[in-house]
Amino acid sequence: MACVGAMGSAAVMMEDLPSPEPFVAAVRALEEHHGAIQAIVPFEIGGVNGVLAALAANALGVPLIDADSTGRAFTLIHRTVLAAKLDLTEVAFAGTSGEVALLRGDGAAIERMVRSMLPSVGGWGAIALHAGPAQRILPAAVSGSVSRALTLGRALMQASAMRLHDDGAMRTLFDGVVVEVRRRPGVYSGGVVTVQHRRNRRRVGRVDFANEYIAAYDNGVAVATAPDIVCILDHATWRPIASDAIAAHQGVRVVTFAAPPALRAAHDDGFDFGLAAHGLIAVEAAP
Amino acid sequence: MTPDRSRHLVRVGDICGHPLLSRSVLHGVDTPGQEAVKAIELVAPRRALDQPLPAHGVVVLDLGAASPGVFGEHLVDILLRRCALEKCAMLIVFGATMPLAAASRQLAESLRLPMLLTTDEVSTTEVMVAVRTMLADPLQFTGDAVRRVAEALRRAPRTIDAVVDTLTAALPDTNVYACSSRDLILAGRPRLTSASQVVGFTDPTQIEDESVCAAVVPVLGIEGEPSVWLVAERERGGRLWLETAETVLSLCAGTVLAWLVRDRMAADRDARWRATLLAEILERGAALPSDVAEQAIRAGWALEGWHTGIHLRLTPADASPLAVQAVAEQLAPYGLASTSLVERTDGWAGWITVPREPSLDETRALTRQIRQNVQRPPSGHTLVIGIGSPQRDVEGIATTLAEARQAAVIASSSTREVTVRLVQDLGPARLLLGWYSSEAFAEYATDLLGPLVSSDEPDLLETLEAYLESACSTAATGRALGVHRNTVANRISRVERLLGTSLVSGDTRLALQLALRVMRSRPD
Repeated sequence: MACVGAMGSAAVMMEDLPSPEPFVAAVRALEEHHGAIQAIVPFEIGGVNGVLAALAANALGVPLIDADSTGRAFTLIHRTVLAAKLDLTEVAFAGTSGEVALLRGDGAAIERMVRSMLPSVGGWGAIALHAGPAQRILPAAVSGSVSRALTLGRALMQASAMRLHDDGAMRTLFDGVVVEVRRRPGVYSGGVVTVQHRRNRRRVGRVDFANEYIAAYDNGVAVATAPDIVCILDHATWRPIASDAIAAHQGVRVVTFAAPPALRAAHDDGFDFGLAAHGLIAVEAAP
Repeated sequence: MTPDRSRHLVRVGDICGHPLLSRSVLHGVDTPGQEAVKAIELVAPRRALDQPLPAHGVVVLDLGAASPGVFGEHLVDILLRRCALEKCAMLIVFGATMPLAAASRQLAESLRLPMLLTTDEVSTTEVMVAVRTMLADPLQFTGDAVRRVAEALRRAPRTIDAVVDTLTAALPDTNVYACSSRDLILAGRPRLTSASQVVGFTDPTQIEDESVCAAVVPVLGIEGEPSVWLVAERERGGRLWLETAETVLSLCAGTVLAWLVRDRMAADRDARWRATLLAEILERGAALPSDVAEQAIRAGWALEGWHTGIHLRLTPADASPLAVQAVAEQLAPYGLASTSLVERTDGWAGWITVPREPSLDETRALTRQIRQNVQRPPSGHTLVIGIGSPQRDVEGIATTLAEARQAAVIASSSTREVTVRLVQDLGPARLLLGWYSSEAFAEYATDLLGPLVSSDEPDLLETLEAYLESACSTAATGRALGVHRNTVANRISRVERLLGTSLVSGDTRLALQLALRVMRSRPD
């Protein structure tokens, strides 16, 4: 089996809807060296990648495994639970017009190479990685990711706070209006969202992001930090708002979900899924 | 300042106003405030959550020390919260990208905690050392400024400009100026306060409000009244800065008084010499001895060429010499050096000299320019400028000066703050000149108007004057005075009753109008 996902700009994908071909091409490139891939593991359950893995599995006619590499959205392809346990050494990359590349090296080098290729293939491309037998991949992956996503998705479809709370995983941190989104230039499309509380105007919320939302503060107190999942939902529709779509004057709820235990566990090679993994100086959440 | 007074002298405003930090951006509060500062502590970014913070202290966070700095900005929020809980005086952040996220700025505001974001050019170490020194020995901060001023005073600055320069050099990032009345700035320029705000003070005063921190020291003049005010002002400052500024300003009071005395004495001596010289020139005309001509050249006077006389009157007559000088300086662009003015019995005289004869149009243009550009005199004063016709060479000086004086006498009958008249444009008014300068008529005028002057209705004199100027129209007078025309009619009948005469007669109106003009032209 192998992990399948996409890298690059979600905004470009919205313009030019992804077809299954790049994913199939990336998997075929791995098969040349590893033999037939008989099942697909979603690489990243967060964001559009969760759906793309299902698209790839369907196109290849193989089963989709109820797991993923990290159990949440993340920033860098070599910073996953899977990569912490099984080194990332090889990635097959396919562009939208049939370009295929097989990259080998250490995780950070591969991450850099893929990022540098993205502009030349039109902004996004498919990746297939972590090819190997099920007995090696599955114990290292975070299991149950797909079914968890489906549960949340159903609750969101019904826009029911009750159902989300029933699940027991979600906690609302802050309910207010976005007053400023400050984006800093650089490798991480990072920044800070400032939210003013809906009822208490002197209460100010802060959500830091680096591709994903990674920490939430309420009047200077850290109330949720990575690896816990921080989401910003539209106040009226309960739809999630991604960090590249958040803008001032939106009514929002900042919510948090507990991280999968695998992200908290100590990893042999010192992998950390907290703020430091996203470049921020680590602080602990208030109990 | 005693050591006792120096305890807890350092305030948040002093830290914010420190030369190293005065360009940094202040958030959280509009003014730094006067909370006492007792300590300063550098917080390691990674220990932002648990490092003990000093109560009433300054907390310093250096994000530049963390790598990469920009990713530590969430620590600002955490520290703001902790500073508020542990009653710290303020937070200084180094290495943050500006502007900081709204979340941090708003949090500082809602906690009312002063937060300074520093500029790139200052280092944490420099600031830590400077603030620690200031806290350990506030008197040294004052002492440094005092020493700098004392050293400069040893070189005995001779002018008020030099004193203000000395103070500016001793107080970094501070604007210093000296003024002698609401409209008379002697040196420097007010930026944050205004002269009218400070001239009322009779004792050293410290001003603190939202946008300014200023120390004002009045200097007693020769008459024993405050006559010069020294002001040091800046946007941010605390108790320590205010005390220091007041101390160094006071240190200069003696030098300023010496300047005042020297200036007055030199002016008096000069004035006597010039008056004598002018008397000789007027008396001898073309037959001027060569040694007198030489002295005239030394006085800055041209004797050959075409002279246009100018006569200044600033009333009341006891106007400060500084005020006369301020007016004279405004005439310098037209060729009248302020140092060449001569005091005469009823004002100040001087002349502008050009090589060829100016046309009437050119003289009129000069009059118009002076009228447009001369600023109004200090409040409560009126300024009159008379201009004579151009006359040639030494023998012409007496004529043009006499004409300028005539124009000034006639212009004095005006009620405006500034009046400028050219002798050629006096027209029929020139006929009245004899009346204005006649002592006998002046006495008659005083008798004639006596009942109105001594009546307990000051409006009557003003109403009569306006009524005659408005061609005896009650409606026009009402408009000019801003009252109803019935009120004017009532007052005019009271005037007639008091004077025991009727304004129906043309002779009466002429006599009264002349009497009013004469009275106006003789303010004494």
